[in-house]
Amino acid sequence: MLRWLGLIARVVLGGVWLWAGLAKLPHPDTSVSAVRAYQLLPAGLAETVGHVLPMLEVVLGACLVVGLLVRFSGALSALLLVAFIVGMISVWSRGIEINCGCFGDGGPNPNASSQYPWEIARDTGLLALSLFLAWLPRTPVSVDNLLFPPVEPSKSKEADVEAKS
Amino acid sequence: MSKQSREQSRTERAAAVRAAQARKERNRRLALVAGIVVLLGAIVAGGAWYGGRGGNDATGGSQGAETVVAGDAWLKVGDPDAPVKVVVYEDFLCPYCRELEVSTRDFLRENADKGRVYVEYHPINLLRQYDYSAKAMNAWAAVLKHASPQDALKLHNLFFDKQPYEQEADGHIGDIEGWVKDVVGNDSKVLDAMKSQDTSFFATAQQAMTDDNIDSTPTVFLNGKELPNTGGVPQMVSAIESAVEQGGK
Repeated sequence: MLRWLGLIARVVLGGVWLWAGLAKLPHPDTSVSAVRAYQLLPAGLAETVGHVLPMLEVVLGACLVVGLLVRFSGALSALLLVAFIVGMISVWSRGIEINCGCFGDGGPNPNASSQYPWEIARDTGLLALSLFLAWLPRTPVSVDNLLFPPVEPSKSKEADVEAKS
Repeated sequence: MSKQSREQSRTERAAAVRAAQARKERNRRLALVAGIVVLLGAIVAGGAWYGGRGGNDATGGSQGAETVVAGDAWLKVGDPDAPVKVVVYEDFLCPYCRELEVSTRDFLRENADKGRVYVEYHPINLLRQYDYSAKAMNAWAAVLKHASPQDALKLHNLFFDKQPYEQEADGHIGDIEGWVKDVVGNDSKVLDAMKSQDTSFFATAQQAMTDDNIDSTPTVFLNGKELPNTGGVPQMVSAIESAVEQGGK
């Protein structure tokens, strides 16, 4: 049962990352602006993060959807979501009113303060899914099952046969 | 050798074979994971490089010397008879002006050189809660008046490339002189002019703002019509690019 829940978590989480990354890919300068709007990272680093983030989100989303390196992808997803939650709490506490920029929608937003709690709650939910996948990465219909099949008990019998010969 | 010791020896050999198989499998998995991670990292790095390949050229890109002319409190780039006219009101501290500038710089410069677009850059002092905004504009006024229009364009670009965050901006006022020197060297006329506010320049810029009802930045006029900012900078960029590509039709 948990394995099937893992599959659902993979598809939901992967879909969200794919959506977020694909929305940003055509507008790299907007992505940089969205990262700069948090006024947290040094300007040069914000530019690099703004350029790397959309592609990273697309690749991460694709990995989760197809089930490639699920434990690693879940952990990376969790790390990114923690960073986003910290960023949102930070701008909220400093009174900076911006769109989160999560889905290519950066820019000033005078009503941002009322939206931050919902966005933080959403990211916390996604964080829970990420941690679940990092904890239980073995899910049905995944590339990992082809590349890293579970070790079969018959292997020990083979070893016995080899030892006898 | 007794039967018991033969059994024991066989068990030990089987354990050794199993350990070797497990080691081999672990190494295969590690190599596979490492290979996949490197491949995915390369894809991410390639995508990031592709997205940022336009880069920022603080020296002003490829504008021809004859295409940049100083206005009263603004800069004119390109042929005034070009089929598309773009007027941009911007504050050197406004982050979305930076986004607009970085997103359109190369495109506008290239097309201005081809005679397809005429651009006016109107720096204004909108973010008055930060001293940086006025100091940067004053420095730009000094360069526009006492150096060349090309230098003013270079400084305009440099101010956006080096733009500090709003909340930290006043801590970067000291950097402005260094950026001016990067463009005009130790030009004493420019450096002296920067020491006091050019009130007539500020009044002219303010008048232009009032005439065009500017209350936010970036504000863009495309062939005299103000672009809506509801779709953010990407929508403005698309509108400008479409108009230029269609030759103003």
